[in-house]
Amino acid sequence: MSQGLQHEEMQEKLPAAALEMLEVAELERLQAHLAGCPGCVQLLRQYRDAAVGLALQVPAGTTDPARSAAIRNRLIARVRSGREGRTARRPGVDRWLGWMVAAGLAGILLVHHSVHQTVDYGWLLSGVLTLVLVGVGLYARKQQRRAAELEDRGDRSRNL
Amino acid sequence: MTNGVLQDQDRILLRRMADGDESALAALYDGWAERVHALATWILKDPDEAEDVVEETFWQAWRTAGRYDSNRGAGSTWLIMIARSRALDRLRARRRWTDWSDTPGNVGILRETTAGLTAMAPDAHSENVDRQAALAAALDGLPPDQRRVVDLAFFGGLSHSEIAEQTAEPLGTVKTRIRLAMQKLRQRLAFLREEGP
Repeated sequence: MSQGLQHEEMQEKLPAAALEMLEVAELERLQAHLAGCPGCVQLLRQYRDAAVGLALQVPAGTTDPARSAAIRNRLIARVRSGREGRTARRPGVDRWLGWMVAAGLAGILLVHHSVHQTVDYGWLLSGVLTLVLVGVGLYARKQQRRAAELEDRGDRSRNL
Repeated sequence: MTNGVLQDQDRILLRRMADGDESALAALYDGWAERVHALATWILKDPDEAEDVVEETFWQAWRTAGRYDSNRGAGSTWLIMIARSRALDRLRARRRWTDWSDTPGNVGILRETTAGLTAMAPDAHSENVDRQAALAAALDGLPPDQRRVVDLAFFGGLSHSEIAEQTAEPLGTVKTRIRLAMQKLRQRLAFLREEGP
């Protein structure tokens, strides 16, 4: 595809990009195009302003000042506790990983013990439950990563 | 105070937030919380849930302020788009349990409210009244079918194909309508920018 055609095609995607409607593949192509096209960057900015204009048309509601102040206070408290948490946590180490490995091994040992020694259904049940809990933990981590990916995708759309 | 000065203020606040200045977060909150709450309430039709969106929005703004690039848009635009995303996440989660067509429509209602926009009580950004009136006029000037698809996209967070399904229009028609509507809005708001359309 010639550069002119590609530019035209990308320009047509800008309104949808401003409304954050592009699929990941389209987003990546547009991102690559924008890196070398200041005109489209400027145009996207204008489309984005137009999109946000829709939000500014929403009638102003009434917010309870006390509740709003409570949210504000919670935010500041989160910022402060987040700061403390950041300094206390070792970077790059997942604090749950060690526990999950330990729980997984314990589960396997329990199941192994209850099957190969005298069959003890209590131990067997404990082992199976431990493994199920590890499975739930892994699933939760997967969902957490997925949520982070979605947030990242939105972030990429906004920072195009 | 002009729009440019307000935009500069937001940009400076975001830069200070990126540097870890929590008073900048408080100032940004004071300036925009009401507007963010109004948008989230409009999308979710639930003021209580909208309060959660307000908190999530400013928390995300705090965490990601370092990624904000002022060359790509105004700080307020960036913040409003975060708020919209957070509210739409909740709306989509809710929609998994209910049919979208059963939820109250945004389309049409906003059109009616924009007609009396200038009579609205001034908010913290009353300096923007001229801009809002211009936006209202631009939106009112859109043909209803174009306005409807833009509303479904922006406030409903629907994809092109979902809008096509919702409106029973071909996908290509939906894409064209969205493009045309956005082009018109951009052009009609050109006078608010220093440069031409």
